[in-house]
Amino acid sequence: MKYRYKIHPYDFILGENEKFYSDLEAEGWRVIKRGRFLSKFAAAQPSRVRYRLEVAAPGFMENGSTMPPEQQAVYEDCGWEYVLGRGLLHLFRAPEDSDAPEFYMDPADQIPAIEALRRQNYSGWVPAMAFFACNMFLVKYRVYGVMGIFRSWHALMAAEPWAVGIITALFLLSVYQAVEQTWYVNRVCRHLKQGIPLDHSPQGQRPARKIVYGALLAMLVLCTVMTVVQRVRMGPPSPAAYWSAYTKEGVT
Amino acid sequence: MRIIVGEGYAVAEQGPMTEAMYYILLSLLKPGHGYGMMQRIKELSGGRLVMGPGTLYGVLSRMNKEGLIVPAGEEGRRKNYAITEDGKAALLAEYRRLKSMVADGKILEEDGL
Repeated sequence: MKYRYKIHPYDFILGENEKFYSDLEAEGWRVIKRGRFLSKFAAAQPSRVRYRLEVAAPGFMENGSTMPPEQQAVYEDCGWEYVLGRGLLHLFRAPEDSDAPEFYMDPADQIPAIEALRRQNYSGWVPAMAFFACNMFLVKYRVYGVMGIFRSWHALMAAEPWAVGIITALFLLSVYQAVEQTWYVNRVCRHLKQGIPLDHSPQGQRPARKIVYGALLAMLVLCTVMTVVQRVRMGPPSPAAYWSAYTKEGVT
Repeated sequence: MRIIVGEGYAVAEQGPMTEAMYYILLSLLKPGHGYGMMQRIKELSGGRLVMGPGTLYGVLSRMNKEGLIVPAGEEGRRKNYAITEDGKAALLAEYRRLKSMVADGKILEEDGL
């Protein structure tokens, strides 16, 4: 059995994910597993199918990663085949020419499910902002004491500036993704309230996204390469370099 | 939308019942499970209304929380539901509201429209 892996669109871009899987099945690759960034495909007979993603909308403290059996039974009775589930997302498949009904007849009915994505996005912002605020607090008030681990981390960054670039690129990438998800989910909810259904076959990515991701990935690659080059040419920084940054007033 | 039921009448707190809610309650005058409800709704509406599974399940969950329907047994993975007295009161109130709206619209026929 032949397999292949491909990077799939981000979770919150439902339409692009659906088109992604449909297009690959038409080329003879059927999805069998979805990870955080990659999907695994097995070779299969090319076929024209519709893929649809359903967002589990769990209540507070409920686990959305498992779809309730009775919900899955309803969808399957309508002609949809359950493929896989990951996080809040559950993937279904039906032949393109089948009469399996679309999940939502009225676009507004899908809003609760999309808002589950919004709640998930907010929870993703919290750790990033908490980490950022904590570091700013430590830098400003030089509260090192038992927080020695943060102090030595700042000293490490001062001694190896290219490492700062890596961390900055990763931070900016996560912030951009969170902003994009917020924007996308809000736009979809607005459209659904206006009666505009979700687009299951969006055409092409927005140029802005390609540019931003491309630039941040280029920055990440450059900083990683420079960090490795610095280490190879100069060896590990001496303890003196760390101590110098460690004891200076402020962080340089 | 939240339905408040009391003293034999139902009042929609935020607006009229949706078409999906109305037909689901109507179909649950006979207890049934999800797919069976969809088939029954299609019959009741003369084929006009084909409900999606996402819409159906979302409305069932909401109405279950609001006490308009209750689980009534299982058939394998399929869960059956039945309408409650509050659900019947809400359904009847909505039916009367729709009837009075149709009656009010009779002037359209009188004006030859």
